[in-house]
Amino acid sequence: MATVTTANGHASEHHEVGSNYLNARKGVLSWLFTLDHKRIGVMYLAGTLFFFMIGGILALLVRTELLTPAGDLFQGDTYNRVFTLHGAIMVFIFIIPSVPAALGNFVLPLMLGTKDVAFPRINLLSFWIWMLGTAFLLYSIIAGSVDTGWTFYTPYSSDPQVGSQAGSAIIWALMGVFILGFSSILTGVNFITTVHKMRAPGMTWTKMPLFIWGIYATAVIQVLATPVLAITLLLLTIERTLGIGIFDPALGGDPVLFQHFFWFYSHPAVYIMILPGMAIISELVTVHSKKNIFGYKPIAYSSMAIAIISFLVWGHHMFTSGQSELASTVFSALTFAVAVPTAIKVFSWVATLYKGSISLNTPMLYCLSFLFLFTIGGLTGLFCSTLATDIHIHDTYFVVAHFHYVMMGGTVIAFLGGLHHWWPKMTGRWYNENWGRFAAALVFIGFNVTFFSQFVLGSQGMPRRYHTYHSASPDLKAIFTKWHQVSTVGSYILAAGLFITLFYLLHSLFRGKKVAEKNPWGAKSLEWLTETPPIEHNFHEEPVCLHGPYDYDEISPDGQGAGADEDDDSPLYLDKKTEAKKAEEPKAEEKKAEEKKAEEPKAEEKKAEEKKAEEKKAEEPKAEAKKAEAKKAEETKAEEKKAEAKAEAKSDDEADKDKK
Amino acid sequence: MSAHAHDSSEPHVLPLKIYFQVYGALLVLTGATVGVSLLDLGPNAIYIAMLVAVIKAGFVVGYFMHLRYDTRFLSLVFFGSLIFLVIFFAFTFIDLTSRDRIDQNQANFTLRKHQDIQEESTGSVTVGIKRFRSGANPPVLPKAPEVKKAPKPAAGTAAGTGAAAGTGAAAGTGAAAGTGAAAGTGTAAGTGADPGTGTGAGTSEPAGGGTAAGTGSVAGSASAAPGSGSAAPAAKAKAPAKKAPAKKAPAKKAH
Amino acid sequence: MSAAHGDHPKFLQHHFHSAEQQASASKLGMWLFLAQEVLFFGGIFVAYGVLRFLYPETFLAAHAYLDVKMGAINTVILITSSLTMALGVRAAQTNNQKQTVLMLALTILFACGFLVVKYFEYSHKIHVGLVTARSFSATGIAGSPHIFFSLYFAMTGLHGLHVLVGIIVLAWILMRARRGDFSSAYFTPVENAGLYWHLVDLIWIFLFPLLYLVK
Repeated sequence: MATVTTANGHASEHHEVGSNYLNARKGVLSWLFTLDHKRIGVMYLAGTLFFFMIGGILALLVRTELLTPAGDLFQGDTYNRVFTLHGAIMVFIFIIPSVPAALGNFVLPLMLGTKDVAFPRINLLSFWIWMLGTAFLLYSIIAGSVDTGWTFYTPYSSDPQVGSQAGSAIIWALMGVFILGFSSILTGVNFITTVHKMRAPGMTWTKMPLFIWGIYATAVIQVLATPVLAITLLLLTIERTLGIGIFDPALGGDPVLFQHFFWFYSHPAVYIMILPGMAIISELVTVHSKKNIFGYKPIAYSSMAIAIISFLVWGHHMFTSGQSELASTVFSALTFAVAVPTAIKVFSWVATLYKGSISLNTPMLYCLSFLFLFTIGGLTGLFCSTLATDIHIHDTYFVVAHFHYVMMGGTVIAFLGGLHHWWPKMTGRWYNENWGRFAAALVFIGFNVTFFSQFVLGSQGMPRRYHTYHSASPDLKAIFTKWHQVSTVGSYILAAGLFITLFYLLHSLFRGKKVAEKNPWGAKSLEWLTETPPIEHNFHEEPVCLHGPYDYDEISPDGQGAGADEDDDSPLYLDKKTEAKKAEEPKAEEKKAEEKKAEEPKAEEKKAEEKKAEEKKAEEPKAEAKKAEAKKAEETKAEEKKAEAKAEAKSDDEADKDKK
Repeated sequence: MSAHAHDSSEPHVLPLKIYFQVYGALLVLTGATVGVSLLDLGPNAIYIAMLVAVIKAGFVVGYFMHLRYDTRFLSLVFFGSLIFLVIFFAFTFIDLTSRDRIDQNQANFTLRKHQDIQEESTGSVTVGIKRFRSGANPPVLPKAPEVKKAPKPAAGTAAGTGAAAGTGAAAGTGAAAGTGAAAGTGTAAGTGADPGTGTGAGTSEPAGGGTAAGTGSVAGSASAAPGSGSAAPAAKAKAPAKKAPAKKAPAKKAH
Repeated sequence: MSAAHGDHPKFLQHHFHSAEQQASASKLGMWLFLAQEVLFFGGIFVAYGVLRFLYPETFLAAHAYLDVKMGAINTVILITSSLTMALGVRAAQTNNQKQTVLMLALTILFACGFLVVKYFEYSHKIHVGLVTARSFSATGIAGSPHIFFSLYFAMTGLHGLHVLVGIIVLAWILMRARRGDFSSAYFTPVENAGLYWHLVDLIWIFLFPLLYLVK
């Protein structure tokens, strides 16, 4: 293992005890020009959380306006701008980069046991591009602010005569989103490559944590769908400035074509948002119940299936757009297919919890919230995908409630759960657990009050994007008023929960108890093997992955998983094949203790281990390949990719072997 | 999976001959595609031209870009992207090519229905609500897809009475009705926002209607952006009569 | 396994184990980038398809106003530049620095030639008013010719932009090649730039018949 030892020597030269990625280099510039994925992740995190707050405040303004039937807080125009900004900020600036670019950047290379992502410079570039795009989008506020909704539908957005104040603003906003798209693509390219090429020795595709599977599926969508958004917005910009007659019906274009273009990206983008959320949940649900995941492969493959199906269903946003009925029917039928892999995931998570040692800490509370809220969001999605029903609820608050249950109740809740889960590792500090649970409860309650009432509103016919409802008939007005008020009160509760979270997290940065352990949760994936907070190059020595990411011991009667104990040397393998290797398990703790002196004997040991890992792997692909053939059509691709990549990983390892 | 070119550290170098052969083939094919375009092949010309282009692309990808000799996963990446492009193309065209067909069937139907409803509807808002609440169906329609047509004319007429949005919403048709109302208040017929049909006609109207009316009424504050989406069915209910001419209009105008 | 032993080659970044890993990662990254380029241009091809479907007569009438001769010349130029690019990569693979530099320079030269021809085409079109919809002033073509010419400018414009970017990238690679950065052990940048350049050629292979030739 020449490479590993070289790497070791290389890494340990730079690091003294107590040095970590946060304090290894100092100064603002060392952050802004860092190539360290962890620092980039932290910067993304700070940025996205800030804009989450801005977007949230805008949402509160919207809710406050709707407290009364009359338009007393805003004029209609202003209202349109506020909800447009809320949507655009939340979707393009916050949610899309939140999990992959912020948490994913931090966690993914650690989980893979590598020193960095494949292209650190491109990673930094993507952050800079994100800032540039954000600046463009924000400048559009100064330039007059956009009132088209975040969807920029034509012909309203393409006609320069309309919305004269929005004249140049919309160009700025379009360019902002265009630029943000590049950031997203670069992140996707980076992550796919990293997952394929940078896995630690011994980490086969089926030993990767499910978080990585989720991020990988997300990255596939990011790479394949985002460019279509780019071309769409570019064409729209040209349409608006020069007039090309593609989307503008006045010039002979087809405005429905814009919706095809837009949703070809934006529907998969919905899965860019939710897949990482699901990915986080797969981690939380095992770590905090100390139980091996139920159905590893189904969860992993369903991520890929969702990614692929997501490209086949965009037309369900267009049932009332003038799209042909045939197309609507096809899209409606295909949309139901999404329910299958989604349900596989949800059932697997619930089954994982069964007889687990569930600790009701903050991450777990968010995880449970997710299961509850996402299920509601998913099931109401079926209402919307049913053609006949959707005609009635389209553009009502029912749809608003549905996608907030998925986006906010799904992704954002999972994001918060993941944030709390990895917070100790990222910052080296503990947040206040009691406040955490309290806030999680507030968020859960506030969220449901806010958005469940909107299901009622929508089913009663309250259209979305209206800033008043005083001219509704008296009895409808009474209904609307009541539920809008409930919803607004709920939004305040939700906001309170989120602000409490903000405060105790910020507080923990300075006053929080230091995290003493490397692995406070007793988790099994590789990111917990390193120091807390991680050192600059992630690991003192390159970790070798010998067991699956969720190989927890059977639950002991006192409810403690074996992994919780730092010094526990007990074998963690449930897998019979690996049983024989028990004695050789490389403990991170041991490694640290041994330091440089032990390098040589350990290299020997590792060599032996690696060989075994390879032998094992050699067996696996055959079984896998057979299975792959049996898989259904939609899974075939995921399988192929997997098999391919496995072969590659193998050959990489063989390359290593050669060097010896 | 045995033969992975990248296993070896020595780069895989192709003999010079191959490059020049490919270059020659590309030139010949370019000549061929130009030559074929001079013949009068009618509508088949595009298929032949595309076929030649695909062959040329195959040469460039396979040899100049080395894809033939690289790991198969790279081929999967590249051809995978093409598959998604085909999906994009195919579904868009499913819509595009079937818009007229079904619309025309419905045009007749909707017109007839429109009259029926006008006869039986009093135009009052509450009727709509009561009907909806009491479970009695609004005008019973024979086929599923047409259901959405029914309330629209109702809303359209109601809009004239001024209680627009209420009707729409109450009738349970949500947005469709709501924007139908907006259309009604806006510039009536001009709202041809149904993009399928609206290739020429009055496109700025829906937007204009939306913002102009944006002074405070329910209907008005609807942003015009959703208008293009949801105004469509409303427009559709009205549009069928003039649909056929509207569709061809821009082309003819220029003739 | 020559490269990564003992001494740490200059080009090997610290987070990779070996030169092979680095090279295959870069190549995969490049192909992923190309995949997104395919969908980026794919979008505008779909737009072309839709509008052609809506205005078939217009497309037939309007395409006759494009200069097939210039289009064909540009096709040959691009194909030739693709050849020189491929030969440049090959030269890098075989440690032939002089030839690498020469081939890269030729590729850049052809790319510039392409843009020059494009410039003449554009200026002619603009001169006679065959431009995008708002400023379209030519008369005498049946249908809605502004749509065809808008698409023509959008498609070839985007492609031209890619050619321009290609020239910049190739110039940078040329500089590095002259500096002697590349060898048979490390030629990934040349290879990736080549992949990009071939894709630009690839897109033109489809643009040419669709815009200039189709009847």
